[in-house]
Amino acid sequence: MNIEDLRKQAKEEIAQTETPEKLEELRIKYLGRKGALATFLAEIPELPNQKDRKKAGLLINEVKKEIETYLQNKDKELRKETVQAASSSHFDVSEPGFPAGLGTSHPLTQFREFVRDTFANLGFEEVSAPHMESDEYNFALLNIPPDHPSRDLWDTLYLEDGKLLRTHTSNMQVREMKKRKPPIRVMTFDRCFRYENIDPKHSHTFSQFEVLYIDENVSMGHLRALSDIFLKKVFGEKTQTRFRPKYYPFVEPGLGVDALCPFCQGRGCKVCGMVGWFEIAGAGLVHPQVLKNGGIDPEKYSGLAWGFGPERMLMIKAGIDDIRYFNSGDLRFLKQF
Amino acid sequence: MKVPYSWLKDFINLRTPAEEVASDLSLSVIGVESVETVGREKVLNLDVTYNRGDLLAVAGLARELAAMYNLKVKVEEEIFKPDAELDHLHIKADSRLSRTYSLAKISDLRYKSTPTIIKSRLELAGMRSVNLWADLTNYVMLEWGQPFHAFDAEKVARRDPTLSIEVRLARNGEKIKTLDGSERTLTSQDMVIADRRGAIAVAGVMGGEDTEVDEGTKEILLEAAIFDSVRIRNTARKLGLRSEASHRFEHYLSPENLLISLNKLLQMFQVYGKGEVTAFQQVGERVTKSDPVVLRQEVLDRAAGVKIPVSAVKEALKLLNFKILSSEQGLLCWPPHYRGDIHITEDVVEEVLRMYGYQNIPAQPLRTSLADSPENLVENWRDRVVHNLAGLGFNEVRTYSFLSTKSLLHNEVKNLVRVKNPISAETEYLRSNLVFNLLEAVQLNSPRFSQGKIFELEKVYSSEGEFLSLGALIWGTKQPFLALKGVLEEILQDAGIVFDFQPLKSSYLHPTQSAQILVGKKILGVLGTLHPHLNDSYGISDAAVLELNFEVLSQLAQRFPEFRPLSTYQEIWEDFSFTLKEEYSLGKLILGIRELSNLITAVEIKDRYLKNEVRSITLRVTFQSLEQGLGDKDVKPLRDKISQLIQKYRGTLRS
Repeated sequence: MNIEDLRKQAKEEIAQTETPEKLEELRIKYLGRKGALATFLAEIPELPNQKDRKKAGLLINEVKKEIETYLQNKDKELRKETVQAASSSHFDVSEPGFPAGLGTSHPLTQFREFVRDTFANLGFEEVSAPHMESDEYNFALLNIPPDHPSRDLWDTLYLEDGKLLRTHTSNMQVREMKKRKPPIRVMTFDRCFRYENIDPKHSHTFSQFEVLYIDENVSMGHLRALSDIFLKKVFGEKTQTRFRPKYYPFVEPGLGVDALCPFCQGRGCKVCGMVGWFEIAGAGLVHPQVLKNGGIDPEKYSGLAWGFGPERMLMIKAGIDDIRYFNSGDLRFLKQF
Repeated sequence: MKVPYSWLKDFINLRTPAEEVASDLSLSVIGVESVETVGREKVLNLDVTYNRGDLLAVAGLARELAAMYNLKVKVEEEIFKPDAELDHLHIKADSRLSRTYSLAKISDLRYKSTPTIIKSRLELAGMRSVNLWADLTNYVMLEWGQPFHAFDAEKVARRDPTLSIEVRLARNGEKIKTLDGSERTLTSQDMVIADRRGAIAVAGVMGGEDTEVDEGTKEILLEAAIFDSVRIRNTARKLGLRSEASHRFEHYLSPENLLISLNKLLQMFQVYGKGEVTAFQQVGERVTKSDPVVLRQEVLDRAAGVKIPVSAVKEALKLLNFKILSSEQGLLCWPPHYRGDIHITEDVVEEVLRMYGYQNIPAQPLRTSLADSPENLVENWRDRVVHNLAGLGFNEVRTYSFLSTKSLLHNEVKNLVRVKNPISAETEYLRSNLVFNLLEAVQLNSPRFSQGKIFELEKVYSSEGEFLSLGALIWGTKQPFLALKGVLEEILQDAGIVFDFQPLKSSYLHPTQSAQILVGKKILGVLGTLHPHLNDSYGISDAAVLELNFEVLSQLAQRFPEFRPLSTYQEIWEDFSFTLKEEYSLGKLILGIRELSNLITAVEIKDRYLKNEVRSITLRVTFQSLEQGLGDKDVKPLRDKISQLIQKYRGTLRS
């Protein structure tokens, strides 16, 4: 083949090319290191005279530039076509994507992280206490003597070795007091147990969250502040809450925290028993006897305890109608969170 | 406790509607669970807590409402004063068993049916009408809080003409037929009311059948007492006989209130039953002796976080019928007789603050010193591992902390912690692992999910203690062991933990596809394919389980592992294809190759295929140096060594 044929052939082939890949193949075929033009170039030294060599060199170079121009033009043309083809194509963006397979953490785990972050920002440190607990830490040191009728507040599961399954997270209180010196700011979010038949509203296995704050001059005002900060985060800035007397042997004064019933806005409905409010948290100033039991001087220090049942709060917040879902392992429930 | 609204009106001129009363009570006294409408009556359902036994009475609630609304109580509280001419009765009562014990004999009774108003109020309060005598005692109990028991005096006299009554502990095995017709066997922990022939009542809990009052009763022996609350509670629980009466005995009762209630009841016996008191005897306390509680203003202000005016303090305490006296130490406060819950300053603080209104205490910002605290490894790694697993497509479940009866069959009962008073057989044993609860979760889900991945991170229990465990289960997957091992590797690599495997025999894991996970000499957990016999019992297939001691993991975990420098030189890789039977270790082979030279930077499985327990494997080995670019002369000797190693580890190279 002479160089003119090559020029013609290249022009034709490039003109007929339809894809960028093919075009790249042609570039290699003609201009590549082992391409067609390279073959011609390699033959130049074999030409006998200087003049012919120069002439051939110029000619090959001219052809090379020409082919490059063809390639460039064709490349532009193809790019334009690609953009045009893309512009006129159809694609349904509403079609669901390929599942990436992200799992879920349990709603209580998610809530736990939220609660913990909120109180960590307020300077509370997370602690834990045993589930299998002695009578002392669960009851006696919290001002609830053995066989005392006030124990009826907690239906208890007892273990054969004389311990019991803790009925509340408050078993951490005296444990932490003994370990630390005021100011004490601790929190816990963990599992508790009661002798209770399971139904949509009750469970023998449930969680509690609780904070304990002991310092000089801790007051009901502080309790109010802590309670408001948190409940507004959970239920929104406009949440209305109220404090009212409530009896727990380990606090004095003791109080219950109510939130306005979200179903009737306080007008009274079946869900809230016509009361208009939901009890949402329990709290109080730590009883002086409990402080003493923890080795803390009640003349110098006072403390507050504040806590709630996360399942119940989540049920109200997320509209979950049955507490049994939490421990059911039912993926239809879990995958929603 | 259920209180009909109209009953309160006997005591105070209450004009506030029932719903509003309920709300006000909730805010400053005690919880109201609901307000029910029954016909034209509204009934308040109160949640009376242990400290406020005085509110287990219409009169007590009326007193509290009078204080709240600043109303006058219309009903006089008159104490029973027996005539000097009344006959005496023989009573023997240990003051440790009953703080006070009284008997009144009412004679010449004439029976008629219970008046409608009494009947309907009893029913609204949740009690049944029995007969006039029982109804009157119950009525006064609901109104004043003091329980009574009426014995038929003639029936008692037939047993023991001397009418000698004793409050004593039962003898072990002592029997009594109670008025519900059951024969009860008592122990020396129970209290009885007895005559000289034996028990005629289980004290404070239930009377005996053979001295029961009925329509034919002409003469009544009326008991009014305050018993030891702990014993009453234990006996009532043990016999399953908790009643309105025993409930009140478990709370605080005052001797003054006993005599006020008795006075009311005797008047009613006269009005409705024409009976006259002919004998009376009381042993024990007649008055409450109480020391004043000192209230210092600064203690009150400290608790409130705001200054409470002295006038408000005094006003509140007076409305609540406290007697007060200013002194140098502070305000001396004597609670009224019916308040058994006021012992220390803080108790009085609560009284003042609830009258002041908890609502009126303003929020006070927290000001406190910051303190350092140690890192909580378990909690930090808990978050990270949960997020990693969720990222790997696992759903976190939570299950009960007990082993079901079904799963109990597959566990060694002797190693489990047992509950002494289980609610049912399903809560008798605490779980010592998470695997079986996870299996039950899968069983529940399997009709809808043919495959899945779940995990739980919660405590497990044994006689040695409790620890946080991480359990994971995958099902409906080919080669589940390797699939779950991949997860384990990711989790442990993220935690910077290098682990080792050792074959393990476990009752719930596949006989050969199971291993113990070791870190040095510490046991971290187990991984294995589920034992075939469990596949059937839990309706599951192609499943593998993993369980780790999460507390050990948290202790071993490393954050910020040491950085390995990145090479600027080209890396080269070569593939080695060979077959290897399942009985030989691929893990050891890979480790062997890695250890051949520090020029080998990675050994990865590029391809694997299992057939008839023979694996066809392609390993991709990467060579790279930090100092120079590598050429064939560097790689060739390594290539030969690798091939030799593959053969040494029983692999057959494919050409």
